[in-house]
Amino acid sequence: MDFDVAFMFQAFLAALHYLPTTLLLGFLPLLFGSIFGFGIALIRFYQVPILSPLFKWFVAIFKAIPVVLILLVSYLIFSDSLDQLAASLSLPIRFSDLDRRWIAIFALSLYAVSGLSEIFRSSLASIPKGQFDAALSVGFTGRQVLRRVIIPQVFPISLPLLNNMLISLIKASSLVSMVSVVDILNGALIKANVNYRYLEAYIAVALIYWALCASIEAITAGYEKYGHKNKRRRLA
Amino acid sequence: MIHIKQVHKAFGQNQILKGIDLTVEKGEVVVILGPSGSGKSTFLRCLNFLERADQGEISIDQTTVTFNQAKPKDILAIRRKTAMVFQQYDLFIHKTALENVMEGLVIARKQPKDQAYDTALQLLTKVGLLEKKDAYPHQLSGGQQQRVGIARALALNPEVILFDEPTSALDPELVGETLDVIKQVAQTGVTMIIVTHEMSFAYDIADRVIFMEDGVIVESGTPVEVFEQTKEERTKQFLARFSYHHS
Repeated sequence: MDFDVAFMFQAFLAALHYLPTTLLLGFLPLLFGSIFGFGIALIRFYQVPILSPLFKWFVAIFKAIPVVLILLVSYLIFSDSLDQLAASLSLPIRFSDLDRRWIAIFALSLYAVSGLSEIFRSSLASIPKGQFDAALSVGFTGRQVLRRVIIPQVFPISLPLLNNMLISLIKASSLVSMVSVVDILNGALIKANVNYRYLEAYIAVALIYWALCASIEAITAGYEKYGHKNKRRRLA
Repeated sequence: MIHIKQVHKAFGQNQILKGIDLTVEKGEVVVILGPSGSGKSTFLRCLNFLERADQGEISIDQTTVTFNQAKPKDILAIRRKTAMVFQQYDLFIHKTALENVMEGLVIARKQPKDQAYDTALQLLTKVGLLEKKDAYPHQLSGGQQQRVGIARALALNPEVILFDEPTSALDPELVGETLDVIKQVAQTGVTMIIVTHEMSFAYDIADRVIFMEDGVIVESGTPVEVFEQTKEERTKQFLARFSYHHS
């Protein structure tokens, strides 16, 4: 078997061209997923009537569906009903000119939200109850407790798991070719379609994924090591 | 002056408080004694709504609130007239000693930062921890954490400070420093309700001692009355289990 190192390098460069797309598909779902996931976690933590059981089911359902299916179903729903919906709301947007990346971001966010809500829920549960008592006893309102005590304590506890989620999302983003989005994997494969040197292309992309995930890991580890003043927990 | 009337509280079928009445004069130090499970801590936690009592009312400094009907703003009003010192200290773990003392003033009371900063420095000096002002709770010993907890409560200048077994979680050699600080604060005329198992401390500091068991007040009086001229058999049995001496 011959291995064309020069072509691997070409495929590498071709893939690199689409790095912004892959990053977008990793970070935006993490952001949207965190916002909604934190909301769901709070609703379930405080056991808000009606909403809490509702989201329990939502999380249970989306946790159990493979990302590929969420992606494909989202694509079908968008392609089927977006034009109708946009027309009825007299929005100028049409499916044919919609950037397919938004569908991918939507689907990956949906996948991320259930996982992230569970991450935040377990972090909330691990805040010592005394922290809430102390905050209330000095006269904080519910919102002040959230802003001054819960959020600053939940984030450092959640960080290692958020890091995992980001890595999962970046890897899951390799599935977006299903909805005709070109990411780093697709970018390399387009190059390989010309000369059928798929092995070189796959290895080139694997190297990029590895470098990407290793850097995210390193940044998180650096933050945990040097920015840990918030993270230290009192052992009662 | 604080009036507390007919506090009832049950957890499920378990009736913890069966109608507690208590009046505390301004500047008075009331110590509550009693075996574990007698409802002392629950009573204290009902007063600032960390637990919701089923029945009864509290009035502090002209604000009267019925426990089971209190709205969020009533609860906040009562909480802002009280402060609490906890068994497990419960300092904000992501804040320094100084920030812990300032937090209530700046956030809850909306005091300007520089003013709160001055108050906090003054109080940390008072509890003997000025040099630890930038330490995080995990860098402090239990006794030091609890003294910061006392400074945090004092900063709010409340009508009453509730002490929930302030030395029960401390190593024996750290109990003394904490009790000394509480005594010193008591001498400045701060109204206090203290739940404790430290009998000599109770004898020394209390204007009034209350013995509680099974959710009712069994006996109440001056330290001399309760410790030396004990009337109730149950109180005698309880006190007999402690060896205490007073200075």
